[in-house]
Amino acid sequence: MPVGYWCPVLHAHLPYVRHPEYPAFLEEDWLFEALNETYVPIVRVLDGLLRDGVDYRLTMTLSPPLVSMMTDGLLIDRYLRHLDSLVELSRREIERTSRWQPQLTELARFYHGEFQDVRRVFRDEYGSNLLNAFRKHRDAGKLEIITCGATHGFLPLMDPVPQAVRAQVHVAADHYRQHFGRDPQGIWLPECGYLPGHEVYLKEAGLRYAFLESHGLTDAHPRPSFGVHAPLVSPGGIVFFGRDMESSRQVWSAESGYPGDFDYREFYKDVGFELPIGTSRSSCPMACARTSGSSTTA
Amino acid sequence: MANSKKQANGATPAARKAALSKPRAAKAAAKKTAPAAPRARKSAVAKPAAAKAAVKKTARKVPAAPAARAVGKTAKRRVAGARRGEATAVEPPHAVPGLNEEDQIRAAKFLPRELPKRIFEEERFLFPESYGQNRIRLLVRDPEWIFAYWDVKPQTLEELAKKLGERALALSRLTLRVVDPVSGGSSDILLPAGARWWYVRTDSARRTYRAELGITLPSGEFRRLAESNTVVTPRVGPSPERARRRMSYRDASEVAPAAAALAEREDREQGLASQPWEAESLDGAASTPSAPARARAARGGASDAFRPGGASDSFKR
Repeated sequence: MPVGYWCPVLHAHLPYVRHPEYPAFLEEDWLFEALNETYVPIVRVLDGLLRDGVDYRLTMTLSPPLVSMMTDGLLIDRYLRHLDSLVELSRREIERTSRWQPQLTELARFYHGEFQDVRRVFRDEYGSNLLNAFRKHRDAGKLEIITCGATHGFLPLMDPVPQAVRAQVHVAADHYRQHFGRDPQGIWLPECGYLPGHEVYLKEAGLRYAFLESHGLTDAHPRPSFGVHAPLVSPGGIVFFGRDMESSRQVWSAESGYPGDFDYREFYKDVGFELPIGTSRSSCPMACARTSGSSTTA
Repeated sequence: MANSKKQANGATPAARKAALSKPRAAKAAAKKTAPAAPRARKSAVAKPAAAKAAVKKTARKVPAAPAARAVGKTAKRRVAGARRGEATAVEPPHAVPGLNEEDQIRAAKFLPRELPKRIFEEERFLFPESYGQNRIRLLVRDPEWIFAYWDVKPQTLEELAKKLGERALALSRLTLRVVDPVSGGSSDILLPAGARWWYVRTDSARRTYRAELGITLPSGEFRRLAESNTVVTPRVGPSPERARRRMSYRDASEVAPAAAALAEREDREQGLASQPWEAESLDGAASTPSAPARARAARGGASDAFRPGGASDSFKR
């Protein structure tokens, strides 16, 4: 008999950035970096679990802005171009480092392989639409995809304009139906922001559960006897799950969590900034003002 | 205690961002190790845009020299290329002979250049200073602070000036009256002229607040201009009252229709209509386990709400 259950929830969101009026736009790189470093790697891990027959369970938010960007033709084209330039850059880095910095050649090879593999997964395996991957895992019964606010707006601050709160929830639910073909069951409230009474909107949209900050449960009235270790049912029948403080600290804290551990890579160290002008930039057709995650990153 | 709590609250916005485990954790790792980095990056992003705009303005004012005109033409061609969606690299707009590549790039910063039209700059939208209505709204910032913001119709003040005279109005003070409509009590805050918002310290207890914006005349009379929404501040810390009911989830598909109908009737009586939940008193649970508790024990239940036999607390109505 299990002592308890632990529910891993990943919240994936990026602000909506799309600038067709420019050939390349710096902030669009946020999406490209996140795809390279987070979303495609997650899909690879899930694929691996499925292949190995691991009966895993995972809940994941895909926020409406992120879903919209992941399915946008212009951004997908630009991402593929960005990936091509990264593959090309890392190829040149193998040449350069083997001549001048042989100690980094292995790293350059790693990144060359990594970018090629990301491109293979994204373009060849899932037809340049990562939602196909997430849907596949959902249909396998392993992944629960939940929604978020329509624009990730902080709902408590919208309370003086209730129409805005309602729109955030309903548009998100509609968007979910449009992309995933069924009703959303849960929602990650943007920034876990909740005001008593907002459950009405969640219920209207057919949502059954949401997630709260730890003190959303521990400071609830009346006081729940299990704290964050059991969900809580509101008078309207919406179930609220609380975040576990210890796990949150491990994942998020810069002081005591593993993000602050120096075994982790310095994400902003970038060969695009460090090489002399002309070496890397002229080798890239575009978007090489920053070429994050490239080969001298250690 | 209040202070430490406040600090904890101050820290939460950052902490709130974290998911139970966050996909961007690795990215966040780097961000957290160098806390200034994201901000630095943002400002770095903003600055070139501003610089570009500045250059654009000067380019319009100063009549173009022949060389600059030539630059303008190439720039236009480049823009056209960009509009057609070609993946044209942004080439240096101008080549100054006798300079190496790096110096040319540096020099190019000071050259007038035409950039593609930025839609959000051309069609600039500015929020109006005032919406011309008397309106005040309250927001709960945290258990200890309320934020009030308002708008005052200019005509209202003009009318008051006519009615009372300029001098009397000049001696009057814009006033925020905060009241508790439930348990009573009120306090007035005399605001500085031109104030548009104010932070109000609360009682650090669960309490209801409403605000009135008005003008305190030299006579001491309060003239109301607008009334706010009602807000309730949350309690600081855990509730002294313990939950007395536990809910258990029954999977609708597992419950026989008759039993479901019975449970539904019971739920309705308890004000929990059409919920797949069974309520159970926590007080009596220890001595005589209720039916759901017995069922849970038989099934080997745990505190997972979405499995039959799970348990969780609920509000007591």
